[in-house]
Amino acid sequence: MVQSFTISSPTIELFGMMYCVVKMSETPKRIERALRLTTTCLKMNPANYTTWHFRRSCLAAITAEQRITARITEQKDAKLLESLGFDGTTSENSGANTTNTNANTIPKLLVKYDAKLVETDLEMAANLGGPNPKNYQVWYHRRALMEPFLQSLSTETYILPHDLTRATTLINSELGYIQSVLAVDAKNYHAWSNRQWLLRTASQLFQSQQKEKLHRSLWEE
Amino acid sequence: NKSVCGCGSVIHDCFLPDRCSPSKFAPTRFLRSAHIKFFTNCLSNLPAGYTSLDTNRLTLVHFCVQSLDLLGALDDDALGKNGDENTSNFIDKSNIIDWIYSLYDEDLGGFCGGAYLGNTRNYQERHAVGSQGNNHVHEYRHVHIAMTFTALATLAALKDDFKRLTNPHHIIVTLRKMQRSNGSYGAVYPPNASDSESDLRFVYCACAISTFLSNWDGIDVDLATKYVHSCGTSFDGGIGLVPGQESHGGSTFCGVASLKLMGMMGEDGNEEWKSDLIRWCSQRQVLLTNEDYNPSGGMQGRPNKLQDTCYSYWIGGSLLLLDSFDVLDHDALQSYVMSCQNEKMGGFSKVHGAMPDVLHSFYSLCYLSISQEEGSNLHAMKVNKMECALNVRSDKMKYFDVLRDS
Repeated sequence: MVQSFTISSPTIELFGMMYCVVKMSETPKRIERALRLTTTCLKMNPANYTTWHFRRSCLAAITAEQRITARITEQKDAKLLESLGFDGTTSENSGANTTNTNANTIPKLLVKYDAKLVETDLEMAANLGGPNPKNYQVWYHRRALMEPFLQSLSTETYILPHDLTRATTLINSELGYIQSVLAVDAKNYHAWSNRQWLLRTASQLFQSQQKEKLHRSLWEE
Repeated sequence: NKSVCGCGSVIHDCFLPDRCSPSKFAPTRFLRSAHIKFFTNCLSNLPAGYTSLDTNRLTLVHFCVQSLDLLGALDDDALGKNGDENTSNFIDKSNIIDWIYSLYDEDLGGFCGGAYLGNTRNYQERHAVGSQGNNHVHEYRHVHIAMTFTALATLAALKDDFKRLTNPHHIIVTLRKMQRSNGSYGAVYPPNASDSESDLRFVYCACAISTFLSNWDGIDVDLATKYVHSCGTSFDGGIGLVPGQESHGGSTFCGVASLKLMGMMGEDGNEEWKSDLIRWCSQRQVLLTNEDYNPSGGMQGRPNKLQDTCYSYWIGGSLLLLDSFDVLDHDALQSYVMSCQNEKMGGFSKVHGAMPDVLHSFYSLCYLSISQEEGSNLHAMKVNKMECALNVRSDKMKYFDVLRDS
């Protein structure tokens, strides 16, 4: 066969398993298991872009399932409160997580990847990034995790304080991470590239926020 | 631990130079036989350090085949196999061609880099592979623009008749879909199979593919040209990988070659960007080092970086395409590249004293090919002539003629 690589058999087995999981036509029921499989495969070859893409599909599927579960829980909570005599708009459930269809409440932002998953995956990417600081796919993964959230915020007419805090934390944290990579190698091209993308996105976000503040202050006059 | 050359090549720690033992015996003669052995061996087997290039096997085959072609090791047509009698290594050309076509996806319009997701449906249908499991067409099946480029280039080098390229027009259709709104290109199609970054590397691949297929319907040339210029850094004249990024040797070549292939180098008198770019390129030759054991004369990819053989081609080639090849000291540069040959294994390393790898070996040969008429040719090397912008031997370009009217 043209161009075989000398790789050990556990690696071949794992790639085989990964391959089987990938070939399933529906979303794997055991998404968590599939996710762990990608972790192992990525440790062996962090440059396989299909593995990364499949991993993001798993993260998106987990997030979607969490959302469904959360909505069911909220609906159950709302029904319980009603049955106990509360009308569902009291301070008990006026937090940001409510999906109460009352016209005065603000709908929750639909995120592609759950915040906690993004946090843990950024950590995972950082662990892989250490020994592979110039790996295109690792850097792209960081961006792919944050971009949907940050971009959706810059198109929102009103951003919940909770989401704004999250965005700010995320951006600052990423700037810190990039700084740590540059401390090791100040010429890392990917680090600078990622930093530019991040600053551009952050700038768009805060500009639209300022416009929103201006609009609201004008409206309230 | 791994480090990566700016060109994207992965190099294991063992490939990096051992700074404690400077070599005084830098080879100055051209080690043709050793190089033929090196590439022939790499074609059949590579060490585990190359695992991260699993998705890019086609590019590795391209590097090896094109190198052998430049070395004249594919010239003997007897029995369809080829090699060099002195090294007794044989390259089974038809086997390689079969392998390349096994990665062709007619429906998606292109090639994948390897069979890591199973074989394409074309391959399965043509080879009547069993219907259980293997034949399943899944959503991660895709084609990759750099693999399509290298597949076509390698097939021409192997004198393929392209009869098995059953739908070249569809490659152009796919290419069109891969162009972004800012003129750049992504790498992977279809987008749901894998998202990817978009930058000048893939613009170059698109231009090369269009040249091979003599069909420019896959590129909005004006938009692509705008994108190339938007990657140019105004203050130093070089070209970065994406707009706003630092000037870099690799992206400079991609930008210049793209403009050349698109016919957009501009002879309209608005040449200021060219002279700035030529100056930036010429400043990348390292003529003095503060290291006793390292010869100078090599090219760096960016200011203040180390010399690296692959930039002799990326930047040397850019200058050639800008009709300014002579701004470099080619005696010094050739000496540097020659000093990076590995006497025992063949091939060229990224820096003097390190282990050779496929990518740097190939690009070193590319530079030697385009520069052999320059300087004094102290090393008496003979390498076949290569089309600078396309990485294909000039006299193999005619094999694309058959695709002209598709």
